[in-house]
Amino acid sequence: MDKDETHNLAPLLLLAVRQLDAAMLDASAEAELLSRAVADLGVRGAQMRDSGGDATHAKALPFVADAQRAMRALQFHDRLSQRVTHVRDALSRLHACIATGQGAEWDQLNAAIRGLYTMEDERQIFDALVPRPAGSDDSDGEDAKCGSVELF
Amino acid sequence: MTRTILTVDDSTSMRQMVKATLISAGYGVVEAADGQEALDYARENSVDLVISDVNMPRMDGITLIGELRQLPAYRLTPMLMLTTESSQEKKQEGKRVGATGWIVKPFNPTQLLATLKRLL
Repeated sequence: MDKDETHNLAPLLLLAVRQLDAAMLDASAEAELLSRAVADLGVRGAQMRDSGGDATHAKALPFVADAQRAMRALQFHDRLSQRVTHVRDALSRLHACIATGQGAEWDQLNAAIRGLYTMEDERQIFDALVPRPAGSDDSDGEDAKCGSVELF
Repeated sequence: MTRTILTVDDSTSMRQMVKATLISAGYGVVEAADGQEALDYARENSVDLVISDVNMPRMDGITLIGELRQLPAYRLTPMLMLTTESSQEKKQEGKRVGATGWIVKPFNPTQLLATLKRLL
């Protein structure tokens, strides 16, 4: 990449970082409102289930089950936020390397970006697309699956 | 007697989900937004179980569990990690500092309550 290309790439990387920051900020307030509403519905459903007679109890059960399903599904926002943050941080690191004009230490940068990831599929996508230096060992052992519970 | 659970996560929506799940089952819930806030609370108060995220500002969940285990009052308290972290390496780190278990997000409310029932 020549100097002109690098000069043009740096502000575009910074632009991507700032746009992701804005999108995250925009979404988080709404996601919190939605989570609060679903959480409140779950609690009210449980109160109905536990305080009413047999008929109320029976009516409340599907309501509670729906609320629990919604609570599980809504956790997508936490995972999505983390994924977007990892991409944002990777772009930010690349920008920092390029903006200095000294060029990037690619192996070091790649290792740092891989180190940002917390989820198995993030690491899998990285490993499938980014060439690794010879002799690098990324075997972290078998990852735990989403939703898994392990007691030590 | 109502059992009190300390839930620690920097995501407000995750704390809301955990709190709603626990309150629905009759537990008392205290929230903290990071490890430092949780540790400060735990030093002054007593809780029966801790559920903590791993990656948080100020103090991460692994450090929190390690610090709590140093306190005599929390030597035997169940402490669960609830996190997107799925690597064996992190899990072993959690185990080493004294975590009781590892749950990978997203959690299933019914499964979480069943786990708590086993531990309390």
